[in-house]
Amino acid sequence: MDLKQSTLGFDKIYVINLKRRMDRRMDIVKAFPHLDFTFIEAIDGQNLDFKDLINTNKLNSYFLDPHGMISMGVFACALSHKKAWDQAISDGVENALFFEDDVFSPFLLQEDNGNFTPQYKDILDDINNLEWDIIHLGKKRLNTVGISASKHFTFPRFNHSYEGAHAYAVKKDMLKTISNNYLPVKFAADVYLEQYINTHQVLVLKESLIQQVNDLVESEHADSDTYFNEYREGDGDVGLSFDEEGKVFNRDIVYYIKHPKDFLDLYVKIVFNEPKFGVQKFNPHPDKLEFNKQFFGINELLLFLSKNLKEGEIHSMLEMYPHSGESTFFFGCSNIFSYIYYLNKTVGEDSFNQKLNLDWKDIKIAFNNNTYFFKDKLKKYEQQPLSFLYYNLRNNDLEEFEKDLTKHNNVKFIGGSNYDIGKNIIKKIYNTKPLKTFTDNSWVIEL
Amino acid sequence: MKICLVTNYLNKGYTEEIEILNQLKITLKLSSSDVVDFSNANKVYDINNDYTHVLILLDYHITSYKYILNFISELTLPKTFIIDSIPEVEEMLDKQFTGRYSATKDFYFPTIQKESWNKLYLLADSFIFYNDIDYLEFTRTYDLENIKKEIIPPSLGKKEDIVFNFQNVIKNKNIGFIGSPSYSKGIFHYGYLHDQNPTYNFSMYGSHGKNPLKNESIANHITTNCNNSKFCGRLKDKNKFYLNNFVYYDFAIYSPFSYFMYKSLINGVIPIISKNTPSYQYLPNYPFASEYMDISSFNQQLLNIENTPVSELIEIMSMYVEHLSNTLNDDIIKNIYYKFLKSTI
Repeated sequence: MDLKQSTLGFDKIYVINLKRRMDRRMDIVKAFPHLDFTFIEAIDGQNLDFKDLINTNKLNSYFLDPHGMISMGVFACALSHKKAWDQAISDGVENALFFEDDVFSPFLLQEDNGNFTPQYKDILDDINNLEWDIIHLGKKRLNTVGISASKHFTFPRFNHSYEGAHAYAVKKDMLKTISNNYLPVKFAADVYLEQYINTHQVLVLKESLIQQVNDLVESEHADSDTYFNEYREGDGDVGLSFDEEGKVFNRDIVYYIKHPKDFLDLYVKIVFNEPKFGVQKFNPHPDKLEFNKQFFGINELLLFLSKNLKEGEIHSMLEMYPHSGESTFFFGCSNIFSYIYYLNKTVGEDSFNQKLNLDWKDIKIAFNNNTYFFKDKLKKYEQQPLSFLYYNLRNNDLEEFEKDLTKHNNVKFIGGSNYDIGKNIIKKIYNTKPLKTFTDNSWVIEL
Repeated sequence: MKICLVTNYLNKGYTEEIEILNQLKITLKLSSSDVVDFSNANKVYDINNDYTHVLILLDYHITSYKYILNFISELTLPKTFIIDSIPEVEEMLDKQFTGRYSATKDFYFPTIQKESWNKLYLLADSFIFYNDIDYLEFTRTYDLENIKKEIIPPSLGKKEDIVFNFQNVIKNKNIGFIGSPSYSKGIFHYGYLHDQNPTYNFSMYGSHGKNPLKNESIANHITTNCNNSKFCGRLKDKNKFYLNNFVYYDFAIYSPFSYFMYKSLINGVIPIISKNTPSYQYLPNYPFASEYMDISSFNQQLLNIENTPVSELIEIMSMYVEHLSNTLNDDIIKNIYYKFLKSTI
């Protein structure tokens, strides 16, 4: 690499900048008066259509994030980085430096005459002497730990420096690798680049040279097009995170979520498409019901059904307003049902595991092994007798619950959770009390 | 025979383990779809339907024990565990390092308890070990009786490719190492070697490995305290490594199969190994073997290599490469695998 003072020693500097953020464009030019930037018009999250992203295979059917946060801004940011890489490939550069538009350096990189400062020249010497594919000149954290590679650079520990893709350089061959493998997007840009630590030469400055303006303020005051603006106001098309109690915001698009401790890759897995778990195949466990009884009251209901449904016959059930938790798990493991259908998308995790100290990994097994079918196969239950119809009752489903109850014929048993919530409607429709209620407030009626 | 390999090594950034895994795929002619991880529990039923044998290769860095236990217990085919390292031994060495050398005295070893391993190993129908020493240690460590086992080391490639590259035998002051800079690989002890013989340059290639925090501290300790030593990250150009380095550093305290030591030997980098280790088992009577855990003896071997004429080194190494070519090639190893797996039905 020769001096290339106007591009900090690299072939080009690409700056990702939204068209509507001229203020930032002006700020970065002012902050680095001697540098020659190639601006890349960023893709704006406000103009993206979530379904369109999925349909055109730009967005993966699930998303992995260390914090479980997504927003349209995250997708847009990811696509903008790819756009910048593609531009660099098309420009035929040997290497390129990529900046987000809100960067600054607390250190002096150039003298008044544009020459590099001794400190930056020292860093550049390191860069020229190292073998690298990706180099980060800054991360969110001021200091990055790892195995020392040189005076200024370190080989970071995987998953310890994923935050920040605001200032990094990529070599030519690596540009093709990262661009060709990014679609459909399943990581934010910084988390995506982190993955290459496992396969390529990724180096990080021990002390960040380039930082983001937002790192200087509390996150609630940050001016971030990626996360905070629309997400915080709650009117973004997609926005998701956990609150302090671990509950999830905005489930309009997310079908279910796997917590990091539930997931082998230690990231939150946010799933955008309907579950397609396939036919339940787990082998029978003769003691399963007894085992489960230790954990959850729904087993009383299941024990009741197992005694009252004929052994050896094929039994089907339909779950209404399914949660991604307890009933899903136990219906599958009970081994009573050959077919389990569900209507409506899952409404998400609840807190049963926390209360009962049930391991999330157990629930993961349930996710992967219960019997579910796609919507188009749901017609099957309308034509065939249903052994059991189960409602996950919540206050805001009551209106729908009442309408539903009038529809179903050809069902042997009907039951659900939260009898206290639904009892007036149940009495109104069936003019009777349930055949049985259980200690966990589940109920069952024989039709 | 249709073999499926189930492993939790996929997508991990290890160096030697991934190379051995890839070599195993080639040796047994497994396609990518024949190698699965634990991410989809339903996969277990496809395996039961589509294959005849299952090989299980587990990284001891397990994060989802119950899940993996469930998965393996659902496999109805003959299950053969490949024991590529013994977690208890690794843990013991980790404790040893922390107790003797670590300033912080913290102790965290990333694996599950011995009882849990025992429960997992009880699911096995048979075991494959890389060497006898591991087999004996394994049976001493776990409560498993009369296990069916075979000693099968990894292959080093096709017989015709295991040919000594004598052109790379060029005397210089460069010592090389590939792998993770761990205590068990003897990297910490390089500091003592450097004290005795500071004239050499030491280049470590690889990644953080299974115990990233400890390995990081060891690598940084060496690069900080030993002049002319550096950690270079992932090895991008193997030929350059073989050409630049004269000696391969294998002062392993525990290494069931030092894959890159053998590869380096084949490619003209002269290894120094230790007696009473698996490396010495596969290179019997190797002349440049130090006493176990004796850095002075290691240094003596370094001097011995230095004083041996290149022509003689080439002669010695050619003999050992031929031995490796005849014993650790794909065909031989594949046949042993097939014969053993057939016997497990």
